[in-house]
Amino acid sequence: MSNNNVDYARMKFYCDEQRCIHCDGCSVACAEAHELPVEISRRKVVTVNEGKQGMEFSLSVACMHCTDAPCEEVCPVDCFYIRDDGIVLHDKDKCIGCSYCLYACPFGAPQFPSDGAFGTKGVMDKCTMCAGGPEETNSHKERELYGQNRIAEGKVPVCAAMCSTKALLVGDAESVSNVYRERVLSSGHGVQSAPYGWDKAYGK
Amino acid sequence: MVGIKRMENKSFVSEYKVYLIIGFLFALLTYWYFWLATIADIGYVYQFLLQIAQGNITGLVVPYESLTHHEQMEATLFGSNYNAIAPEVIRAFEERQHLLPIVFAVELVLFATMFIIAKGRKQATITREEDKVQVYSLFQRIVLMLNIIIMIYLFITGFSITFGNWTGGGEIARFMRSTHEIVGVGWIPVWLIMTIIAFKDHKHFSRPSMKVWNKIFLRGSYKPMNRINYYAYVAFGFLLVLSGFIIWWMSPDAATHAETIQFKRFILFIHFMGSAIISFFTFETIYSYFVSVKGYIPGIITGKLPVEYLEQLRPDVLEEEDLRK
Repeated sequence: MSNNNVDYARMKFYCDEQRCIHCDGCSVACAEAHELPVEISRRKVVTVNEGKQGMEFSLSVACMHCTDAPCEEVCPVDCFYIRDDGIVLHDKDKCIGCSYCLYACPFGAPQFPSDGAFGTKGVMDKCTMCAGGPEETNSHKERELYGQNRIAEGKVPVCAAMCSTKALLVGDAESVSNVYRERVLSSGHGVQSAPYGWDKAYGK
Repeated sequence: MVGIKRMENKSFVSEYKVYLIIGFLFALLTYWYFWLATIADIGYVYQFLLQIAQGNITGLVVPYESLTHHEQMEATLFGSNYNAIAPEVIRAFEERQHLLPIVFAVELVLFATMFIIAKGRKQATITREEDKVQVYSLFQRIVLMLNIIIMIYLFITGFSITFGNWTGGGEIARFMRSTHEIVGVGWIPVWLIMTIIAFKDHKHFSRPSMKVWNKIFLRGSYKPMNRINYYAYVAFGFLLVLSGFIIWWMSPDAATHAETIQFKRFILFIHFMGSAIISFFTFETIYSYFVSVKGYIPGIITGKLPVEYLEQLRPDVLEEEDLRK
């Protein structure tokens, strides 16, 4: 099992749609860092209302590492586990690729490579918040199955590290919330209760 | 009076008793499920069905422009109305793991009770073992065997997914899940052919040349409960092959996820429902052909059944003209 040190109380993602410029730096960095197959997009960037002046905005999304993760609730083989710092991970050796987690996920995070015979899907892959998996930390197997384990090395997940406009933030919930509050107040758009997606992922 | 065959004067209720009971139980089940048990937004599901009929499978049932900034973001990124169907899928999944063993146990008790009330098993007394007639053609035997083998495999592998908490996942469970998909796709033509050849009510409205007819369509006629089992096989089999095919075929990538996920949730729900209901009728079919009556299993392999067996247990088959010759 992973022996990562837990440095954070509760890890969360936050993407600021006012700052995201849809450069795709986060998703490309993620794919490169974890050497993902071409059909897997652990992180994606979507632009809403493309071409409509004043209404266009972009957002980078991946697994939100929910508090009461619905994927964990529906997994028939209980392959998910939640770390003390809130990062939701799964065991690919147990996963049977049934894709129930995909149906339950509000954020479309689980990904399934169609690598089996006759187009059957393989085991699930998703954002690990660069925290690896249940294998021995930084082992060859962990790297092969789950990608880099940057958290164990004390580094920020690669997507947030690469974000040029600092739209994508990750870290302890309190720190991220403080940044969010400062940004909302300084933008003069009034106060929102929480960043987008937080209500679904972490409750009200 | 002796020598005069009395004309049976059956009332409507006694004539259609089985259909009325099954229909009533189904109405009760539907009412319980859609108005009491489900946590899905039924109003939304109805609207969604209308949209699907018009070719819109995105799950968006109102104009995009009428959504708020927040809702537009949600619909574009993750698909709309997460709370309408997804919680029901989660609930249905959890309940399947906990309730299905209870449902199957209740069904077992039901069949055991029927068995006791019927005073055990009906068996044919066969004294002339060699006196057999060809009932099933080679084509029919292949279809019947394929249908039996495939359905058993789909049951086992389907259970291995649903009761993954018992298998614990891993290599074998993963193999069973992936072959469940492929064998399920293979069941589509078998289900379709079986549906056609087991349609025994055709005799009421047409009858082409006997020789070809009997090589394709199964002989005999249905008793009411067997007729219900057949139509349940057709209806819920259709739901299963359609939903199963869509689940296997529709693998959207990250870019198209939002447009398809609500439809996939709905389809998975249909698959759950279809598999639970067809189970009951499959068990009933097994009960009526092999448990309550001692079936003649070699007949499915050789296609030949003893005349005495048919006389005593399946006179409807023996009534076929060419068999009486």
